[in-house]
Amino acid sequence: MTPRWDPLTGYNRWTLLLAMLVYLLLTLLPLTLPFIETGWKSAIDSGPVIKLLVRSLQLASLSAFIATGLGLFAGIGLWHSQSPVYKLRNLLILSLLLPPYLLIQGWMALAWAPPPGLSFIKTPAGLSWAALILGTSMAPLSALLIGLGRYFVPVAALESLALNHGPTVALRRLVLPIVLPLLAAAWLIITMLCLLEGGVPLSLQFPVFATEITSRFLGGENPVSLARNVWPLYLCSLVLGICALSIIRRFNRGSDGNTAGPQHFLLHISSLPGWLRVLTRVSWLLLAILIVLPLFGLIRLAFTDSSYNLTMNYDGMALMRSLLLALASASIAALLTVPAAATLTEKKRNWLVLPVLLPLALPASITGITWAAWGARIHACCSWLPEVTPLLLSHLGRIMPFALLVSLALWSLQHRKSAREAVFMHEHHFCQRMRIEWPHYLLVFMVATVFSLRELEVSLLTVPPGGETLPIRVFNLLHYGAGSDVARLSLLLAVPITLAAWQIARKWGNA
Amino acid sequence: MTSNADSTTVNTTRIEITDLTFKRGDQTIINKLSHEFSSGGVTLLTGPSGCGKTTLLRLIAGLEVPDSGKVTASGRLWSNSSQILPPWLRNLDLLFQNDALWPDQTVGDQIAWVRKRRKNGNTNWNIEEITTELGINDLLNRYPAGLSGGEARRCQLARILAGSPSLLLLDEPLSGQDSATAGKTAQLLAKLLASDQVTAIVVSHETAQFADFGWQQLYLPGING
Repeated sequence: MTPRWDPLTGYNRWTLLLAMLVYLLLTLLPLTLPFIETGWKSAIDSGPVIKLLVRSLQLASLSAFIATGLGLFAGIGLWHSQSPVYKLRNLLILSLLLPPYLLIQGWMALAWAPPPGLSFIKTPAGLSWAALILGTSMAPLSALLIGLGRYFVPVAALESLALNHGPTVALRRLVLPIVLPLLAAAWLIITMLCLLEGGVPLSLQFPVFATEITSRFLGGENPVSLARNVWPLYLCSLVLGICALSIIRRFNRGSDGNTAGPQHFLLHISSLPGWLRVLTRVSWLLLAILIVLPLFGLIRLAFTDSSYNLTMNYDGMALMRSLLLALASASIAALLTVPAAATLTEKKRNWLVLPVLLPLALPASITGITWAAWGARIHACCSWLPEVTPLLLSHLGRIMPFALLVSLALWSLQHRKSAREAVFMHEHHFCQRMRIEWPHYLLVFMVATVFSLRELEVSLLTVPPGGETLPIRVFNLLHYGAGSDVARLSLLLAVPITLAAWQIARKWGNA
Repeated sequence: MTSNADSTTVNTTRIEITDLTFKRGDQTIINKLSHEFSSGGVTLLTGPSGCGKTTLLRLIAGLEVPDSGKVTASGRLWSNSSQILPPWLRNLDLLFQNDALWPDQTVGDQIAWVRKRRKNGNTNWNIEEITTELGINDLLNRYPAGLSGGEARRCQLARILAGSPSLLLLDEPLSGQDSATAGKTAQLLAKLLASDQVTAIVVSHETAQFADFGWQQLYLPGING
């Protein structure tokens, strides 16, 4: 008898417990920041705190409006396989995975040498630019969320209603009640993520709450006093996250597996009313332009004359360090998050949802500062540990919640449950089991790799001396170098992300 | 009967379920069910939809944990609410209600893989004969994605029979097949299971196909029945 085996998940119970504990330890450690030093005092007065919070909320909500506005129609386009959005869905995934601060380079390229007819583009700065860049980079997320709505459309009910009352009534009665909550959830999630985003405002020198913490910490301020001041931001993002979670949870009850496929004629764009058809096409065109324009600018700038040549010693090594860090952290993240996600979905541990998803509401700056503080302590007791340990652990703490979200989605959508269970009927089944499970692990690994490769804020705070990663080099050059230099480095960073994104898009269908 | 845990496998299996209760959320699927499936016998499990037939097979296979009660095999404890013997140590196989073929291997490779892991001393079934009688010889080089529902079902059945387990749990073995093929499949099962070497529990709504074989019947009325 092996009482430790768990039939619902297919894992050993100790594996599940260990994975969950390590996940919670690594992701929730930032909550210990107020307790790791004593004698703190408030560094930011309440007046500036409120001002910063208002600026953060203003930027986040404006970005979320742009993102959901653009993403709504692109998302509807993802419902039918004949739509151009569906055919170009890899572009959506790529633009979602590219870090938004890379898009800044593209916009800057256009601003410095505006194409004919676009001379109104000025040097990117201020709220509107930050909102536009953040909103555009988050629009694919809202499109994907709306696109997921297809899985909740009850096909038999839709057909029956369309036969009796026509497609417009069917879409209004059945599809609209699905799209509206998804739109609200997308807005809340994007507002939460934009509230915590520091990379874009930092690069555009537009101070918000998240950037202020990083700037002050890098300026030598007491991290505990900063942690004390961060609670309004943390509370706001937490409230938004809980609201989004409660909206998404209602879809669990609605999905019964009887869903419309991407070939279904009622989901075709021609079934929509005329005005909606035009709006969908125009919005998708606008989104495509907003995605392609900065990418085009980035590529163009990278190949213009530059005094800067990429060197193996600095840029090559930075790329290698980024890749090694991403591979190490993504491997560990995949091994931990897949069983942890199984605990949530297969064992229906609903009470664990909040602590497990709580780290998504934590600003990266707090994660970075905490790991920097803990890193010093860890090194004091275990000097034999490599210097990159805090960097690796902080990356794990940052990327694992996103990896877990992907794994949760894969466990929920898995359609080979019986094939996997059939393997358990036989002894010595490890290799056979891996043949079924590897697409799941690979997809989680790839997503974690991309998130680690693009991570800037956490790296800035925990990187050891002389060990700078590629995003840090891009960030440094952004302030001190020429546009074309930055564009070349950005392209160097974009290449592995693009390759990974292409693999993710390919594997998603198989998984 | 002993309640001690034991990891050894058994050859011919007598399954005993005692006061078995299983709930999914707030809904009770099986309520205090007790029954003994005799060693080497075949039991036809019938009942209305949703009465818990598939769940009972999954509980016996070790894919679900009972809320209370226990499952024992020839006196050895297999499952109760706190302990569970993994399926691979039970020497059984389950024909799943939905497609359980492994997607990245041909049917022939799957049968060969299972055959290599066959336990000694259970049956002397000839797998070539089985694939011929099931009419799947032409499908052995095909991947599951290229099979129809009925073909996939017969291929899954062949894969299970190739393992010669001492306990066979068959969930709707005739579903998705035309009446002639279903009749042939039923005849093959009757022939293989007549040897008393294997204990089998067969769930089917098509009881007429199995009416002449003299199998024991167990009717599950469901908790509302």
